[in-house]
Amino acid sequence: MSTLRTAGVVLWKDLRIEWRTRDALSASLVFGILTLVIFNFALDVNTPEMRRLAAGFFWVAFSFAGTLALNRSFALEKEAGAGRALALAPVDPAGVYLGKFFANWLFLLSTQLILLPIFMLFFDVPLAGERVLALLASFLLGSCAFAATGTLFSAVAVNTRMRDLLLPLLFLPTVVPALIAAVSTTAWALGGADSPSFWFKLLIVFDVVFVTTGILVFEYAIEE
Amino acid sequence: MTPHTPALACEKLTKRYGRTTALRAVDIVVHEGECVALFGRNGAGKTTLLHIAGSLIRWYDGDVRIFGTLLRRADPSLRRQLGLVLHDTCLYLDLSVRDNLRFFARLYDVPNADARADELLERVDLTARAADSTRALSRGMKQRLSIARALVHKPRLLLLDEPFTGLDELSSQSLSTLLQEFVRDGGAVLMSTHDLERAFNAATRAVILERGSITFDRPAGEVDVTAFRHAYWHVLFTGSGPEGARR
Repeated sequence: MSTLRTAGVVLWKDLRIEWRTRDALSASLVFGILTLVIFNFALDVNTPEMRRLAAGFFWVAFSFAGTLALNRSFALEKEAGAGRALALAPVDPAGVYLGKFFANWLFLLSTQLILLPIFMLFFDVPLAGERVLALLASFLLGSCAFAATGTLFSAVAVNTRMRDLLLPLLFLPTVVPALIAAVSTTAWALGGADSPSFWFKLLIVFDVVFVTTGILVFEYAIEE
Repeated sequence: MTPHTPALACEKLTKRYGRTTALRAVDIVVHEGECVALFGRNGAGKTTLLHIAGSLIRWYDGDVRIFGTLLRRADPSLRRQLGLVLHDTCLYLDLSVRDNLRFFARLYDVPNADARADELLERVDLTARAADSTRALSRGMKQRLSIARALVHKPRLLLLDEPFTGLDELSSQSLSTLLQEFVRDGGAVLMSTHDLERAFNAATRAVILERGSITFDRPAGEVDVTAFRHAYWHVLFTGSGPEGARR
């Protein structure tokens, strides 16, 4: 079976499970909304300085929420040993990685798009018409970075006893460059002045490097 | 592959976990048309043997050949010949019963995956529960679904780790019949079990594994089940079989 076809079958399976349980999305949304609510009450968000920092608050909330969804990704495979049956199938492990990656990317992107209006309401940030596309690109590339690294590290962490702790320990320091770039591009999309072109390029390079790394090393990451 | 190439051939198979030796130079051959029942007390090495043959454990000494191909050098496509039922059910508990089979059928590129899934659901008597969440099934039903999962891609060698666990009388009888048909159609089975009566319904050979070594290996037809039971109980309670039980 081709790698892309395997990816499609694994993606279908993860979407079916999410459709039935809504675990990944609901857990990350509740956590993300809660974080935004706390920021809203803890800080005086109606100052120009705070609006300038708003993009950072959004990505902090998203980082915590996204980690929850990523942790769930391979917990599915661990429960009842289902991942063993998946690992035994005569398919390219890269296809399994890509299927899980696309599923995680979709969940993370959905989380961002649902959090966005709540964030705009709480932080009173304008979204100028011509910068909407830049915001969407920032979300697409930023969540892609999260999904690419998170899928790989989630596969590594799930076979350890400290999996809930290990994933954020491995994943968050690695994703920091992409996080900084995503905050910068989002800040520009929300009315910032600094040019985002360098940060967009950094996000694209980060995504390409980590998706490629995931494809190449996933086979070893899932070995028990 | 010659007509007499065994489905599974283990030669001098040895596996150590730290200081513990789980398997000591085990030689075992399973031919097509054979159902081998593997008995032994807990920790005798049965599950380790099945995991190695199923390519779940990669590091061991000795050789394992599946249909003549050395397992450690085999292409992943060789795994298409294997069907495994492990102690865990290896199912996605949050998928529906039908979707579990559809998923594994698609993963193995089975033609008409949906029809094959429905056919197997009927075979293991789970059609009425097809739309239910797998989590909602009883242990016995999950075991039946797990057996259907192992059969979905029509493997030629079945490796079963205590397949009768959780099954009621009717389901056990049904599994014995299913295994007999599988073997009659030319398939090969290696199954670990503690259930003598049920195993002898399906098995063509009985093997006892003691502390990582095979100490008994005879065709099931030559075995007096009552005498075997006494010998096996001796193994279970003392950890070593009487001389009469040795091969």
